[in-house]
Amino acid sequence: MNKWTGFLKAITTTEDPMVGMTPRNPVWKKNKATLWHYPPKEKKYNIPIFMIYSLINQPFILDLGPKYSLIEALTNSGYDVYLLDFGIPSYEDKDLTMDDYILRYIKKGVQRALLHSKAEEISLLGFCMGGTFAAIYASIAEEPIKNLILSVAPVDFSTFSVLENGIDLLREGEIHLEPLLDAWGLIPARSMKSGIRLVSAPIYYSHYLSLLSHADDEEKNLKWRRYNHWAKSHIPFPAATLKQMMNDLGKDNKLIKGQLIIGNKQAKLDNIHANLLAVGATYDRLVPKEQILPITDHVSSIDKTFHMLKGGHGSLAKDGKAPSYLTNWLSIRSNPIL
Amino acid sequence: MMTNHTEGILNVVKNLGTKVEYELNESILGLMNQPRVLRSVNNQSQIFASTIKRLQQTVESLSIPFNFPTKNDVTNTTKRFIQAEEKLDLLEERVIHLNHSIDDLKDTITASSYRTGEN
Repeated sequence: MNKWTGFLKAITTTEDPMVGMTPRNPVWKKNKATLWHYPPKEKKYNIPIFMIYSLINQPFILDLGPKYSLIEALTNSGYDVYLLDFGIPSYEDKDLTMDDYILRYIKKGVQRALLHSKAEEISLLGFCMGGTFAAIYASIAEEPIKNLILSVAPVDFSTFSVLENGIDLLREGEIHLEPLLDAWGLIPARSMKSGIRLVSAPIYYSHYLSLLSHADDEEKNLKWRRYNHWAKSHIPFPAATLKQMMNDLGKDNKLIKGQLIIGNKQAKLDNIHANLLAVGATYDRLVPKEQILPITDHVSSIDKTFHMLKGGHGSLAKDGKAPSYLTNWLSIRSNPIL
Repeated sequence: MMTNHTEGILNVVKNLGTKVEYELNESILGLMNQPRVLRSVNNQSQIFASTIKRLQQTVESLSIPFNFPTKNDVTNTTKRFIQAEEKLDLLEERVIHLNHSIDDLKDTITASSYRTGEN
């Protein structure tokens, strides 16, 4: 197969590629959410990993396919992995707030994972906004969280790398997005996709150039198709959550100031004592280092590490490997079975 | 030789294309970041929002004489299902905790009877 044939085949195939092939079992379901358990090939650690993905896309990026799956790599390394998949929200979920996601889904999910695994402690691994939610949850959690890993998770919203003037106008009360969000109720998936594209890369064709450079390689083409399928799989977003995030996090920066209230509790980052690994990415335009790094100054954890990864926003999730900085850090903090 | 030549061209196209994409995006984001553009988008969004609201209110009003369910009706019904599911979830949690307590109790009884037998 030459490059042009491969290129045309990859872009004209209408059938979605298979994704999420690591063996898993549902442990708990609520509304559209499912807590999945991925059993290890051979259990080597006592502390399971609980993954929280963003609400913007679907979490199958964590398990794109055999050999390209972070989840598969972690189960092969001997970890029990739990993934909280929030599912695809519908109009009846339009009133779900950040409090709901944290208390009714993440907290309950962690409790269920602890019951299911019979583990005494748990590691949280949050990606992007899922990482922000993981940090908020960890700051009010009564459950025993041993390790907290935040991958490209923004916590300090004092600076923005894109549309800074828009944020300033929002803070000054010159821009009002509430009426539009209230009218919508549930932001449609297409609008989420366009919105994210608008603030990251309004013009986007470089993925086709990447495809062309390896279009004669069937395996790389399949990986490209899987990733491309994920990149287009945005889901609707509850406006109530977006409003709360916009006001409490984006506008008032309450999380880093210790003023965020979640279910009558003050979500103060200095309540976090878990071992912390915060990860940033060098080419990340959406979540720059300045929004991630400050968490290390605010938590009470004695053991805290910041790692700068060479790559873009989704590198840890999409590379489909368990990188050595993660496995080395996690293995010595996950009570290895001797 | 021919393959190397094609590879070379493709690499140039890829690098140049990526650079052009980056520069175009920078220009667009710079343009969008201008306060007058942002204010204009904000004004348009207010008009759009009030139009959607008016349409929704009209549909709600029409649903009564024409006797059709609206999305809000379906939402209210579904929310009741979700509430019921949450109650079941709580019950299930209690059953799990009870089972664990029973298991712990069994273990304690077995251990103590074993110790009694030893004595």
